[in-house]
Amino acid sequence: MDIRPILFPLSGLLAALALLMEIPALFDYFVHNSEWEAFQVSALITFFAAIALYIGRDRNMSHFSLRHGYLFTVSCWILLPLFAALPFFWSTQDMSYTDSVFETISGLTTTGATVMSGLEYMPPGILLWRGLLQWVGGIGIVVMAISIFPVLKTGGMQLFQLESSETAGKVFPRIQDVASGVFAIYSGLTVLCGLIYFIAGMSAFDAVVHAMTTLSTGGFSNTDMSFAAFPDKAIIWTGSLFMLLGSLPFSLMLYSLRRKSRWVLFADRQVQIYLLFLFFTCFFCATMFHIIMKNEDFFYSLTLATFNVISVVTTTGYAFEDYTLWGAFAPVLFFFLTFVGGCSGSTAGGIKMFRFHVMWLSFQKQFGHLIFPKGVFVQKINGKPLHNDISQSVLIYLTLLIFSFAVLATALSFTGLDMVTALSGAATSLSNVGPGLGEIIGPAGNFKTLPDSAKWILDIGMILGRLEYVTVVVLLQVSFWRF
Amino acid sequence: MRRSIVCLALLCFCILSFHANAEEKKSFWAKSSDVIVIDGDTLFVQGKVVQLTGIDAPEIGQQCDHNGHLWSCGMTAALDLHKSLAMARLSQLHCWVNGKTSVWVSATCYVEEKDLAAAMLGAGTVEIDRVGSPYYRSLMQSAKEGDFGLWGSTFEQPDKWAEKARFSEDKSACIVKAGKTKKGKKVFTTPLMPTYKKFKATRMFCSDEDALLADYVPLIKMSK
Repeated sequence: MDIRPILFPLSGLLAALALLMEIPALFDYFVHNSEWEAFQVSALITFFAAIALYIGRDRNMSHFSLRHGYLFTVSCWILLPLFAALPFFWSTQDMSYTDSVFETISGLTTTGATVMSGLEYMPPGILLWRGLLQWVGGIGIVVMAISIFPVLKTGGMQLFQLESSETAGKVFPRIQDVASGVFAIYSGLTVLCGLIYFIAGMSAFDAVVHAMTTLSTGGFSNTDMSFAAFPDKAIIWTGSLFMLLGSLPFSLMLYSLRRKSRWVLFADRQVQIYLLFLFFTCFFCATMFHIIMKNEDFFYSLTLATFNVISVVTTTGYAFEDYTLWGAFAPVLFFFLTFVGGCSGSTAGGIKMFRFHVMWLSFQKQFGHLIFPKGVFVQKINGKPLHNDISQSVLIYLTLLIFSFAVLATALSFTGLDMVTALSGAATSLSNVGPGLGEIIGPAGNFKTLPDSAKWILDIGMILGRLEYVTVVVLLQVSFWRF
Repeated sequence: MRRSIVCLALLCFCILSFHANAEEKKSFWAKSSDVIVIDGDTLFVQGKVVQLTGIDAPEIGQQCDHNGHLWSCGMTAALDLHKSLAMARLSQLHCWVNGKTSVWVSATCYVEEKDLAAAMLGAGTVEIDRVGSPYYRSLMQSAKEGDFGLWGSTFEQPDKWAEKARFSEDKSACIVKAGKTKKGKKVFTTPLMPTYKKFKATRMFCSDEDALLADYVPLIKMSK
C-alpha cells in the first residue's frame, strides 16, 4: 500500500501544530517566563518534520482512498502527540518523555488524566498548552465524528451520514465545510463559557483555560484540586451546563443554525434519551448523597451530584468532591457511568447514547422475532430505518470494546496494579474520562506514580477509545496492507 | 432491692462516662477543610501537629531520580495528602492517637473510611517508618513490586536527606522557612501552608521535624 497520499494532510496538521505552539511561546515570552524557549524549539522541530512529510507527498489527492482514510486518522493521533509532547519534555518541569507523551495524549484525546502535580505552581505557558491541546483535540474529535467516521462506517456511525452518495474522495471538501461550521459554534460557546466563568469569579487566565477544557469535555484544570478550588455554586453550574453542551451533537447544532430550525436538537431521539438519563441519574445521586452524607442543604447535594455525574458521563473528568467517599454504591455506579459517554458528533468519548438506542431496538426486534417468527419488524431512528449493517457495526464496536477492556485491564494488572485500579484504569482510558477509582488514580489521586509501562498501556487505551476501536483494528488486518 | 438497682445504675453510668472520656482522649475529629498540610506525613489539626503513624514521606524539598529525571517527590507526597483532604470538604477527618511527644501527636487519620497513610503507601508516594504495621508493610511491598512512585525512582532516605545527604545529581535545597515573629515567637512554615509566600525566613530547615525539634512551631496566620 502506498502511504504517500496521507503525507500531505499529515504535514499540514504538523505545521498547524507548530503554529499552535507559538501561542504559549508568545504568552510565556510576554510574561517573562523562560519556558518560551522550550515551545520555540519544539515548534521549529515540528515544522521541520512537517516540511519533510510535505516533500515526500503524493501530489495527486485523487489517490486518497478509503483505506488511506483509516491510515490517516490513526496516524494523526499517533504522530501529533509525539511532537506535541516536546514542550513538556523540554520545559523546566523536567518531565520524562513517557510522562510528556502521556500528558499530551491525555490532552489531545480529551481524557484529562494527568501526571502533573503542583499545577498551581506551574508556568502559565504550560497550563495554556494543556488547555489548547484539549481544545484542539475537541475540534478534531467532532470533525472526525461528523465527517470521517460516517464515511469509514465505524461503530454504526454511518447512521449519521448526511448524503448517501458520500465517498472517501469527498472527505476533504466535506471536512473543510464541517470544520468551519463546527469551529464557529465551538469557539462561540468557549468564549461564552469563559465569560461566564470570569463573571462568576474565576481569574481571566483560569476562565480561558477552563473554558477550553470544559467545551472539549477534556477536564484538565489549572489546580490539583480541579473544581474543588472553585467552590462557588455559579461556577459549578456553569461548568455543568457547558460540559453538557460539549457532549451534545455539534452536527445538529450546525444544522439548526444553518436551517434556522432551533428545536431540531431537542427533537433528536438520541438527545432526548441522553437528557432523560442524565436527569434521573443526577437526581438519584443527589438523593443518595443527601442521605449518606447527612447534608442539610438538598440544593447543595444536587449541585455536587449534578456536577460529578455530568463530569463522568460526558467523559470530562473534572473532580469536585471525591465521590468514592459517598458510600459503597458510588464507586460501582461511577464505574458504570464511565462507559456511558455523550452523544455522537460531540467531544465526549464512551459508548455514546445512540449505540444504547440501537442496541435496545435490536433487542426489541430480536425478541419480536422469537415471539412472532413470521412477523416483519421495521425499527426506525429519527424516522430513518435501522438497517442490519448499523446493528452489526454497533455489535462489532461493543465486542471490540469488551475485548480491549479485558486485554488492557489484564496488561495493567501485570504491571503490578491492584484490581480496582487496573479495571478502572482500563475503563477510564478507553472511555476518555480521566479519573478512575481507587487510591492511586481516583478523583483524589494522580497518574504520576504509576509505572512507565502502565502509562504506555493507558496511552494505547486512550487512542483506541478515541478512535472507536474499529479504525485501529482494521489496520491490523493483513489484507489492509496487501495491495 | 431498689437501692441495689440505683447503685448498679450509678456504677454503669460511671463506667460508661469513663469509657466515653477515654474514647475522646484516644481520638479527635476535625473538618477536612480546616486541616493544614505541613508535609507528606504531617498535618496541623486543631492546634496540634499530627504525624501520620507508620509512614515516612520524603522531605518537602526532596527530589528523586526517575530514569535520569529529577522530580519533586517530597512535594508530590505533600500535594497528594493535600488533595485527599481538599476533595473531601464535606467529610470529617477522624484521627486515632497512638502516641505523643512534647511537640507532636502521632495518629492514624481517616477521611470517611479512607486511611490517609494507607492510601499514600499504596500509591508509592511514601514509605513505612521503623514501626510500620504489617498491613502498611504489605501495601508498601505491593507498591514496590509495581515500581509505583518512589519505588520507580532513586532516592535518599528522608532522614538522611534532612542531614544533607544527596545523590550526585540532586541539587535540591532545604525549603522549610523558619524565623521569629514580631513578638519573638519561633515559627516555621512550609510551601503548602498559607503563610509561606509572605514569611521572611532567617533560617532554613530541611525538614519540619528538625524545625519542631528546635522548638519552632507552625505559623498558620501572619500577624498584622
